[in-house]
Amino acid sequence: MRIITPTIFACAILNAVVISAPSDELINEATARINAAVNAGLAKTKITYNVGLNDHLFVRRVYTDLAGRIPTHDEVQKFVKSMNAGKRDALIDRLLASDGFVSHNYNWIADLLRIQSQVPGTKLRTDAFSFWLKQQLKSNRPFDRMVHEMVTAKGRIWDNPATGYHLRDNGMKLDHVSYMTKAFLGTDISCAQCHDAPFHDWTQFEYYELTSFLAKMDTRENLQKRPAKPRKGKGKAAVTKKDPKSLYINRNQAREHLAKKHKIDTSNEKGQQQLRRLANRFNRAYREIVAANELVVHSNPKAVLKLPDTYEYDDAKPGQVVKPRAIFGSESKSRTTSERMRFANWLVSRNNPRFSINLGNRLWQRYLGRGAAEPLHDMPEPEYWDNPELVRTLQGTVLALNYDLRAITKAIVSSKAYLALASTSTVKLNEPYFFPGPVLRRMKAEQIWDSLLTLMVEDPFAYRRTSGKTYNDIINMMDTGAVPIPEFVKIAERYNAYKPDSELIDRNGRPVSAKLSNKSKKGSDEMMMLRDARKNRMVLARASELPQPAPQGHFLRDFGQSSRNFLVDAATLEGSVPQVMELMNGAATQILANRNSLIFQKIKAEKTPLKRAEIVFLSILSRKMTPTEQAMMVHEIKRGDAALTDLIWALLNTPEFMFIK
Amino acid sequence: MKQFAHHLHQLERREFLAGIAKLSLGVSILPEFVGDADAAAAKTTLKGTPASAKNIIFVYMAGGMPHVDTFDPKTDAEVKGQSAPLKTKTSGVQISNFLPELAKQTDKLAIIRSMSTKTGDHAGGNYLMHTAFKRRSGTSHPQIGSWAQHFLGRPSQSMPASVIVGGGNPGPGFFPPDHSPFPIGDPNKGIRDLLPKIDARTFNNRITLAKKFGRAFEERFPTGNVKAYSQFYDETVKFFDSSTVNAFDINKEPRALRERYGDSKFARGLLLARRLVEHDVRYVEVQLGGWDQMHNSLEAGQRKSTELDAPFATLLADLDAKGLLKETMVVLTTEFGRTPKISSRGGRNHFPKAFSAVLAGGGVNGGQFIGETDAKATNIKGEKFGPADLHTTIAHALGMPTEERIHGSGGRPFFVGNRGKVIKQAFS
Repeated sequence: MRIITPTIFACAILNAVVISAPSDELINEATARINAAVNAGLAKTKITYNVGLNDHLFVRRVYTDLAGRIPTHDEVQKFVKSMNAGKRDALIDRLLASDGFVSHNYNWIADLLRIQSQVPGTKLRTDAFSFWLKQQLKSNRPFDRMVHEMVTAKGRIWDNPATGYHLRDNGMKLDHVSYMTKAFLGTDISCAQCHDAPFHDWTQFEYYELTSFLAKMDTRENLQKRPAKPRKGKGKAAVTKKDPKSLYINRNQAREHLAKKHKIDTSNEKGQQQLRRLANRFNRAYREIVAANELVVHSNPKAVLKLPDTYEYDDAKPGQVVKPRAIFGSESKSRTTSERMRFANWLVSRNNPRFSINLGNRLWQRYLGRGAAEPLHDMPEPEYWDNPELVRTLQGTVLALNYDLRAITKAIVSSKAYLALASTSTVKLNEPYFFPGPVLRRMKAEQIWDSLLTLMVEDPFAYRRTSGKTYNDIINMMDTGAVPIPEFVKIAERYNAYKPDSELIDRNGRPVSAKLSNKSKKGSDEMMMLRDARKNRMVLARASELPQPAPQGHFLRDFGQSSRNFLVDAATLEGSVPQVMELMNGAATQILANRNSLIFQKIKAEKTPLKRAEIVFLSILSRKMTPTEQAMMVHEIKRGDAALTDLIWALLNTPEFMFIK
Repeated sequence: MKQFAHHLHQLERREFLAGIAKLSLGVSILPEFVGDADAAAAKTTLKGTPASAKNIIFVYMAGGMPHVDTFDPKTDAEVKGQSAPLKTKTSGVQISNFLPELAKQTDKLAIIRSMSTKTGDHAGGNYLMHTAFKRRSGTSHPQIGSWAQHFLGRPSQSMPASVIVGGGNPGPGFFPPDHSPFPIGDPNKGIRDLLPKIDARTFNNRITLAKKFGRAFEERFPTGNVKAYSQFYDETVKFFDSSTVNAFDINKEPRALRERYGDSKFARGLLLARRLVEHDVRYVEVQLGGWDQMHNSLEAGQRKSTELDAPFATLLADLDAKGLLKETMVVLTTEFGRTPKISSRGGRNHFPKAFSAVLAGGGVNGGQFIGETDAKATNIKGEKFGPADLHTTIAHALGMPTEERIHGSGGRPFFVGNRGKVIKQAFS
């Protein structure tokens, strides 16, 4: 029987506590408190709420913000025509439970954690981590539990996907901690990495103290140790000592094996060249596989954190060992708990005010377009908050609803401020704002992309990314340890043949890269659509299922998807010339204006040109035409069907499509 | 095969369209300027020195250019490899015999042999040499072209202020997205790929329609970000204008000149750079990659030097002949040098301790070398220069106020050139 160490035991208890979902009453109370806080702020400045949303605006707003995409033509119609008095509340609940909400929230967290499809500097794929996060969101795991699990995770990504969090910043611990405080505490300590922060209270020493909690955490172990050379002489038989964990192999022997296997005649230049190519290919695969296996979050009990040689303040000396201490809040001094566990406990503790404030503030910003405390990643002290009561109320909401993301979101999107029209004038960052409504914001890159998808295909979730099991099974060598060279060569072959898109699969488990079948559903619009997209090298899947982040030059990147590199909150909403070009002439727009798209199928079902135009408006802008627009359309439609293609193109290129009013 | 060609086409298109790497900070530092780029220029009070250069052509040797095999040749048997010093047009200035064409242009060059950094990795060195700042979590620093757009505005409204040829898209740093360099994938194609695939009438018709249907919303929400969008639309439409397309089209250059440059992508990039500075683009970067192949062979160094030699020499001669050299500063640099000593694998490894950079035109006094390394090309004798010094020198030449503080994220102060010193010798 295994002995349960206190650490594991404590962790088990924390996770075992079943937190039941907050009741509707509790959520309603939270909304009422948020309303009261906003009301007070508005009253003080004698501002009134913007007008409330009509049904058309409401349905577009909540689909965009909760499902991460605009509603379809049918969804708009169904909602608007419904006579059910509680239809708004019901729609919010339905969207909060949808896959779209999981996908949209994943995009948010992926930005916050700067998730990339591969651990930077290595080739290790992180699909398992992304998949795990989506599962957490789907099961509505409380945010604090989710963060706690990531911060305390141990092992390799295929055994414990939550390790993907620490592995992301493999080899850069100081940076990792500064990213962590920005994402989870809304606190920027990065200046203090090199010197005492001039605009904050903390010092370089305190930064090191905080990082020191993770001093013993290591994210990599060396698996390339060569066997010690046999000692010569002394009469004893040569003994080769082998590290049982080492995956080291002799590359010369591998080369010889390759020559034999492929029957290469190395006596001539051509054969040598062929072997060189094969060996290079094998060596690269070997290096990448071993490096991927080396990534493991584990504890190195002897490791300490020292001050840099350049440390220049009087409170300590360069090179001095730093002991862990938290920069604010209260921490447990328990000696039985590991430092990392203590750190995680401190981080998510209800006594750490910035953790709960940060979440409330970040979610508020997501739906209202601006934080109650700005900037998000470096919230100032309370005296600089426009409406301190609002910040505290949001914090109270987070705590009262036990970090339940769906419940907190529901409380926010049910507030009067959220359900008002966006403000019609520029809201400057350096001026106070009291939330008479949301700030007019452009959709995020992912929202625009997922919305276009909604216009193209019936099921935007036609393709989903798996947990990367195929990949992990190929490269996981920890169960076998070092294998004989012929075996390793086979693994390398499987590794080289692996295609990441083979794990982007449809409902029948067929990968996106599979040949589109001609037999089934021959000529169906959806099939034609996917074929057209393929021709344009586009995968019609939600942004959350595509490579993380999308490659440079992809629609998503042009529209400001975060590069997930050196900055938290790096997604942008500003326009650019390449972006406009993409929307004017890009593949997505071309596909959309093609006759197989969903929007065109809808159009075909209607007979009169004006009715058809109405469909275009409802599909793209979620509203009917105004009388003025109708008059314009009557004139345009005289040109025939071409006018409809032009109309689709034109509406996609209006700010009304891109902005959330 | 057809599919392959199609794929290539797509790649180039994408590369070209490569999005602004939107690394702007959580807070845009100049929110009031977004959508009002000209105001930014007008508002800046210039405290810079009088400019000696109007344009910059930044020629970047990606991967680490070996100083010994190019601009700092040695005779020491242990380090010289297959390269040897070659007498040039300028007495007292010798460069490697791998660069025979350039040897005829040394009267235009100020060769800095005392460049030095402490950054020996490609990504870090590349970032440092392009921004003058060390890469750090939490900040994205702009490149010189973006700094210049901030301080000096855009020279032309129908052309981008800076262009980067074949080098991806570094983004605008902490400036607004419209300060990002404009990325060009294939210099042979210019921006033709971006042109609408539909006839001009349909295109114009759609634009008109979009404007009509957009008006009500724009009137209801006259906010800065909405205005910025319509501005980007207007600007993009201008890019489709024939004069802009023409400026990006190197096929308009005489065939003889095109042949003199050569037909490599690098050579075509240099020709495009010259054409662009002629058409009011202030800053153009052209990259020659592949220097890192030197790890395993000295031949790779020679091959790369040859790829550099004739096109670069032609650029200098061409700029001079057109009278553009006076106002155009050409900068050639790299992330680091390569080890003078030949490695066990018969190549040269990364060597940030000492390497070379080259300046020409735009007020630079040619026919000289600045700083020197010892006989083994390993240690710098006397004063060293770093990326901050190089960037401050460029900023100085353009007349930018190197002492003016810009506030980035969290109020952190930044200076163009990162407070380096002007390499004064270059101008005297």
